[in-house]
Amino acid sequence: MDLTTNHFLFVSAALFVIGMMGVLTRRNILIIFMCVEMMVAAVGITLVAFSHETATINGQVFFLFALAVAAAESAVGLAIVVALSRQGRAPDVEEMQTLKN
Amino acid sequence: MTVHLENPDWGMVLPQLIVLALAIVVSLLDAFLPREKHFTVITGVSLVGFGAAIVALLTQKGETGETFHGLFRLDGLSIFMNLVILIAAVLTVLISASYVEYLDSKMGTGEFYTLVTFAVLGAMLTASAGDMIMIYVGIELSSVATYILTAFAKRRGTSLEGGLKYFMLGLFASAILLYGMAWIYGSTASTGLDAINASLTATLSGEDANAGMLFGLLLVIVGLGFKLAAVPFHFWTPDAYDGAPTPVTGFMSVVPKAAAVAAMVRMMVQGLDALSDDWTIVLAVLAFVTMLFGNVVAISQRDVKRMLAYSSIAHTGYMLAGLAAVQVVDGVANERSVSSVLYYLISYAFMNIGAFAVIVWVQHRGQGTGLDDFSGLASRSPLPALAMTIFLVSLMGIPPTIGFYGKYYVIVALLDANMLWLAISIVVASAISAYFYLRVVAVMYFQEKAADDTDRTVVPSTLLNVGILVMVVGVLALGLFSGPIINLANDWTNLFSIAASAAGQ
Amino acid sequence: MSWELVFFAVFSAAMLLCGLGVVAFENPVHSAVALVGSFINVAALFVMLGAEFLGVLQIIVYTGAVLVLVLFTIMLIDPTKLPEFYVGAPLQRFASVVVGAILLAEIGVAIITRTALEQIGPHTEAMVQQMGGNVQAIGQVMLSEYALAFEIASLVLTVGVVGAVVIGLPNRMVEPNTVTMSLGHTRGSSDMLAAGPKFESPMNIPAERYTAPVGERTVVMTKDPDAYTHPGETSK
Repeated sequence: MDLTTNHFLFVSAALFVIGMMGVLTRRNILIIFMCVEMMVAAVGITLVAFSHETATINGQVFFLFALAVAAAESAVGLAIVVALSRQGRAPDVEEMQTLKN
Repeated sequence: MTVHLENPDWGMVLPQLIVLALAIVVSLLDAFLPREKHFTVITGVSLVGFGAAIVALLTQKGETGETFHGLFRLDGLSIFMNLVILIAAVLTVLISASYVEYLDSKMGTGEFYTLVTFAVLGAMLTASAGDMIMIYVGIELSSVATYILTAFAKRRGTSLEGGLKYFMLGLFASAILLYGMAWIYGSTASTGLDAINASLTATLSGEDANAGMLFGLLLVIVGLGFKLAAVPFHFWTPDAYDGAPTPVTGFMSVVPKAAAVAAMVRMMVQGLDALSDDWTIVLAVLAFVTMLFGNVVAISQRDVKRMLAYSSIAHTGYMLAGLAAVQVVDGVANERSVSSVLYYLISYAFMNIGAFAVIVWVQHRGQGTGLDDFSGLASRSPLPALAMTIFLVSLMGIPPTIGFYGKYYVIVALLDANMLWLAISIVVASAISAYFYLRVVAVMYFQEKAADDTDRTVVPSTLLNVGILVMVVGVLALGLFSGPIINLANDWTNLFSIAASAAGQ
Repeated sequence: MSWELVFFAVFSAAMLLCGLGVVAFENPVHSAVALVGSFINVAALFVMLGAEFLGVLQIIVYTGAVLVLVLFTIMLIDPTKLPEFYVGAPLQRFASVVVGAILLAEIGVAIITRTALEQIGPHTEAMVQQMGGNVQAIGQVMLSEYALAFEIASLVLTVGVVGAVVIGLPNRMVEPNTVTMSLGHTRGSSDMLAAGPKFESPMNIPAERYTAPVGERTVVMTKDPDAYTHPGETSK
């Protein structure tokens, strides 16, 4: 039995689905965030495996861009999380009105 | 192997370059200008910059070509989409200027316009993309900027929560989109849309498509469906639209949506049109579910902003219906389909941003966004009430307005494609929507406000008034002169196919 | 059975186990550590596929930067104050697990039945070696063919920086009647003195919390504007 592209694709699909399950079932924002990062890494395996199979380097370049974008997004997302936690439990509009009147 | 360096044709990317320069200038002005000059200077510079980009875009009319190794395409589709996006950007600047300055915890003017400009740039680049990588990066640029804009009123918990929800589900959608693109790349060995198309038509002669290809197609539809807020993937929409500062809601209901529609047209019609038998049916079902769900849920909303969020979901359904009518018969695309979507987008930009503009106007009078805040608006201030009525009637799709023609062309395209059931469901969905749109009108005209709020202090809003006026004129005039515009859209989409065949050789 | 296959089995098993750990652990810190383990194994798989550069980047960018950022965030915030985030009710969550299983099966079918492409591209292993290696090959393609996308990725990073600053910085408008001066908040000083027009916020927050009455200003030096409460103001 030889190692083929399909092996890598299977593993990547499994990691992708695990990450997706995490996004859909967990409630902690940070864990959801990590699960999405895991999904992106799984896509990376698929891209690199296809890049290897077809002997085109474009797939690796594609993942490089995905990596850059994911890094930028993580900065934004974590900033929002920090701002939210700084606010305390975020009040909604009604709650705020009752507090102030 | 030698490196191919091509001197790009800078003339083709001129509008995008202007918008990029605008983003840089605005952020520098924010850093170095005294605070009290921000409002006038930055708003003025933004308006001039977007105006200059529109002029540069109009000089490109009729040109086609591609540059940057095929990453950037100039064709009818890109020019029309860029025009819609830039018009939406100008309208956004008009309605948000005084809001950003005075309302909602006083947001930073400079950062606000920097982010709006970057979001517009990302959407424009998506519309001009000729490569999956460009589509991905462009859509992310526009999304990331919009996440931040949604959470911009950071003193308000709802804004941050809406932003977080939008961010998380947007990130999730990007991962799915990326996975789909990876599969398409793996099945065709290229990321360029024309190359994908060529590879597909070469391998697909009479056979069923590659399973990997179909799987990638499905994932791309799901990923873009999230970005578009199509129905099974819409959970983020109500909270994000509700929490965002109101001008941002107007902006994000048009510009990122236009980017996603552009990405959809590029991916599906330009890249994967050999598979149109497979994806038109998926889009048709999505469109059907989306328009019915959006309208039915909107009925129960007591908040006008939230109601418009659901109504914008429904409008996504109408656009998807137009796209589903692309039936390729013997290699000939239904040209009316793409142009009807383009026309719908431009009409949607005017009427939807217009409706949000009136909400902004009401908020400028110290009111909220609930239905009660609109009661008796007609007796207190008849002109904004009239404007709101016009926008809502247009969203409903009543004849003299632009919204009617938007739906009309979509229905015509659907009838051309023999999709009578979807055309009928558009009519039914519009009939349902009449209930909640007309309820707002009734509340404005026939209900008196219980408490007297006339003594509320008022924020100056000259630009907002100008913006509302422009949009009222647009909704009426573009409706009356819809013929030339749809012809323009038709012409420009013809250019799309000419450029595609020229590039394919 | 080749050694390659053994290595593959070890790396992917470790990766998937760590991935399950990320989903299963209750504590976000444990999840983050499990994610580090998962990513290191992803990097190993990249190296096995001949993408050494991406393997290194995966460790530097993800494990080194993004996850450290996540860990810092966990340390910075009070996790109990975060609103919980969920997509649906328990029934929906169960349904999503079912959907996931179906999706996995579908992907499996797609992988088995797909038609694999041969090595049709120019970047065969020999060619990459001739170009000087994986890094050179990626660089040549990225900076010529994908130059525009490269520029736009840099814009995305710029937007990320702007966004992190806009949202992450403590509020500039700290308290009414108070001018906050501190290192790192240089703009706090003169802005506050320009009193804007009076108005009432759409959220019914009393106007005096928004605008400072002219003539009654105090200057307070504080290191942490967020923690500062002006005498007479109720604490936040």
